[in-house]
Amino acid sequence: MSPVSLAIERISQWVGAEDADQSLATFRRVFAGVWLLYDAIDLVWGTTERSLSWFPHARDWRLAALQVVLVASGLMLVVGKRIWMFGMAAAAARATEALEMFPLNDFYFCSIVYALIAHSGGGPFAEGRRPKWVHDALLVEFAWVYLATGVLKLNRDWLSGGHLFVRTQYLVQSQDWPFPLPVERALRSLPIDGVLATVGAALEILLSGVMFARRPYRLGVTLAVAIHGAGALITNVWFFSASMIAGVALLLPRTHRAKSLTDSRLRPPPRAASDDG
Amino acid sequence: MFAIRIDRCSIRWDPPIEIAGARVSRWHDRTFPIEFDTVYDRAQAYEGAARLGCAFRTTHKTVFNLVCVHGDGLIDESSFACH
Repeated sequence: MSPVSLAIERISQWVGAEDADQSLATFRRVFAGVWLLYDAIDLVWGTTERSLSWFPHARDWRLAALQVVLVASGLMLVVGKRIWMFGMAAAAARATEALEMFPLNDFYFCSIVYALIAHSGGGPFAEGRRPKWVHDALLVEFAWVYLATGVLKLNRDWLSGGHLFVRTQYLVQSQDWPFPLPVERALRSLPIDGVLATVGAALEILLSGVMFARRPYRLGVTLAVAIHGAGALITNVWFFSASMIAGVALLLPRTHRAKSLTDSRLRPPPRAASDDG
Repeated sequence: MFAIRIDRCSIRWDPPIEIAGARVSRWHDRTFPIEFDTVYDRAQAYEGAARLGCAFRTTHKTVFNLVCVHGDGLIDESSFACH
């Protein structure tokens, strides 16, 4: 068999393979639920509209229409009805929102995730399946996001702590952010912010490695919670943080070693040889 | 977005300006409590936005106050009269 034929056969097998468990469907529901809440807030309070212009102005009906599509699609993805149609609709609406209205990097990320989870039920021609390739592609996307954001932070402005200083002290000044006093004092120190920024970038690159290697599970989840917990609490980024933690916790395979250790804890301990006499 | 130097400023008007019948003393009064915010990358942009806010003042004696946080670890405060 030629290498080309072998490659085609391997790809065919991969595309046709079924995922091992229900974690992809669970991720779809959680991810869609997180962004459903985001879009519901956005639709009701016009928050993206206000981000585009703080001053009073007529609401952009095109943006409102996109938000209606996103809310309806998110709801259907949570309940698991017509997954392909509503997943693709959400992907298109989010991409349009990013390209035409508000170029937020979270929106670009979301549009790709929606396009992938649209196929989590098998797509339009093979409904009822659990395609493994979707799970694999999402793992690669998450790994890439951590690698790209970690590497992009390896610059003077980030590593000096300047970004963290600005973002945290802005929250203190503008929103009376409820940092505990010792934390606020620490974050007011540029050298401490520099250390935190460097550690953050290093942890993102490390988590990227974990996602590419698909192990170890506990390390991956711990890193995600540490990175995004800090991201939410000290930089006011909540929805992206929640969806990234969900992605790592639900998509990263639980390693065989961890499983076998768990199993061994459930079994009664073997009797020692000396007990036999 | 992580490779450029950024500034962030808080804006206050004294006395409060009035927008759509609501008194607004801080920029943050018109933004959602978490996640969503209207931000700029440069202190000059905040000053421009604060001046635009002066169009909604209720008295000619209105001043606006900026507290700007810079990436080099400095925080400065300045006040301007609305014209």
